[in-house]
Amino acid sequence: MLKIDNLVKQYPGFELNCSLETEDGRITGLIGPNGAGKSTLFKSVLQLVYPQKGTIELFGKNITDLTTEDRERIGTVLSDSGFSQYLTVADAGRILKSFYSRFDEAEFSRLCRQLQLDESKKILDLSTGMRAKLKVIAAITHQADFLILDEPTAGLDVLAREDVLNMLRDYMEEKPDRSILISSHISSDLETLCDDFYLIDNGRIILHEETDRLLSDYAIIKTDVSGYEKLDRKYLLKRRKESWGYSCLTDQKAYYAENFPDAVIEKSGIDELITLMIKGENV
Amino acid sequence: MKGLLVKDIMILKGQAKSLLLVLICGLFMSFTFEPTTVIAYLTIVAAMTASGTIGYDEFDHGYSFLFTLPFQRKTYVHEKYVLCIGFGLLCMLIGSAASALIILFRGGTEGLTEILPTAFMMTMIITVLMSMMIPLRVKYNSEKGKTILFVIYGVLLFSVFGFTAMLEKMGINVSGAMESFFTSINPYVLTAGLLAACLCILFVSVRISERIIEKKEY
Repeated sequence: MLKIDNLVKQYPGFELNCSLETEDGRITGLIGPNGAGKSTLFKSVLQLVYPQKGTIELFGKNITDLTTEDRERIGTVLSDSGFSQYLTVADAGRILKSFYSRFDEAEFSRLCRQLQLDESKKILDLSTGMRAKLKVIAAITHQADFLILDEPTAGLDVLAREDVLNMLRDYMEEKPDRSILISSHISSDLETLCDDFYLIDNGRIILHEETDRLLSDYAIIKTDVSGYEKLDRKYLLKRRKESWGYSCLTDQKAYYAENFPDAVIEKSGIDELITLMIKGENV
Repeated sequence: MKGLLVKDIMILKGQAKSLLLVLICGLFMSFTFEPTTVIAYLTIVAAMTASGTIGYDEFDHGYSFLFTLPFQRKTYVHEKYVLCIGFGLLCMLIGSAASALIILFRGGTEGLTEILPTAFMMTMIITVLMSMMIPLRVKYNSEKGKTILFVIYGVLLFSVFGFTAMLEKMGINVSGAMESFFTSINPYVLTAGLLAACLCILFVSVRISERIIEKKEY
């Protein structure tokens, strides 16, 4: 669906240099700390900024060759931008209808009702959660084949997040060849939604992994200094010095569980993975 | 372009009350001053109000989302010219109709002949005004664009008046020379010439705006 090859976008003091791919029928997560380059990557795909090098292909075409019809197949949520706040929710629906030939007006209204979005209200008067829901509704109600979602759940409470994630799950179930590229700071959202994810730091992709493999094979081994000396370091990816010894990240949980039964091995989630991959040192 | 026009009409709809107030003020002014005043007033206010939609687009990082919608960037600036000049012309027509009604209401037909030339002049004025304003407002943020525009107007006015005053001091009767120049030209040729000049300015302005919008990053 989307293929980014050696993309380079330079700003003073920062360079994004990465490759990434999202496949049909899959949800790919993009994770990383603030300022890692997630938004620059998204903006490059959306042609809001112009990379200096590299290629971006979407729907099998170079993005610079996308027609207006091709662009109708993209649904977008940006964390810091949306419809003018002086419009009402109903206005947003009318605008979408005039932009997208496949906009489903009835579905738009149904989702607004379901999520208690008052169509007569100005966006300015909506809560953060309601605005976030509107952005997602706008992205999924014109039969897009590819969604690019930058922090769609940012600032939402747990219930609103669940609503948004359910909308995305329903969207994927409707047509199995659809695809989503999503970024989020909330690891639990990504763990339950994404098929695979990329970890980006300082403009570089430092890890690409299947979510299932992350949850089954990655682990944090906690050990004191003497225990660390005895540890086979063959499958350790990163380590971090702690007051009591070391925290080590491995992608071979079973190996250490079998061969080092005395080691404390904890399941690694995305948060721990990010922390150790970025702040940890090489073994 | 349809989607962009719908968006801007929705934004302008939100200002319906203010626009109605402008219309009432214009009508009041026409009763007090020359009836054709309403034409100039409504046309300028309408075009300026429509150009204000650029500020709405820009507000709160709005451009980022807007340019993910399915249209080409060039279309954005084309739509702004269509909207600003089109809305100005629409309000010019309303003003012209109001002006004619006021003249007839006053019980005379004197002044009716003033309507067409005033409407024509206003068409050209808003075309030139928007040709200067739109590239600046697209290039810079709304406030900076307005400031630069006012500076340009100031410099232009100062230059024209300064140059005229200088020539007058040198003993050249500028207003008389201009009057004799314009009266010596066939009015149809003059009209066509002014129209052509306006269209040239508009064309150059559109090309500049296209280049600005295509290079900008959001």
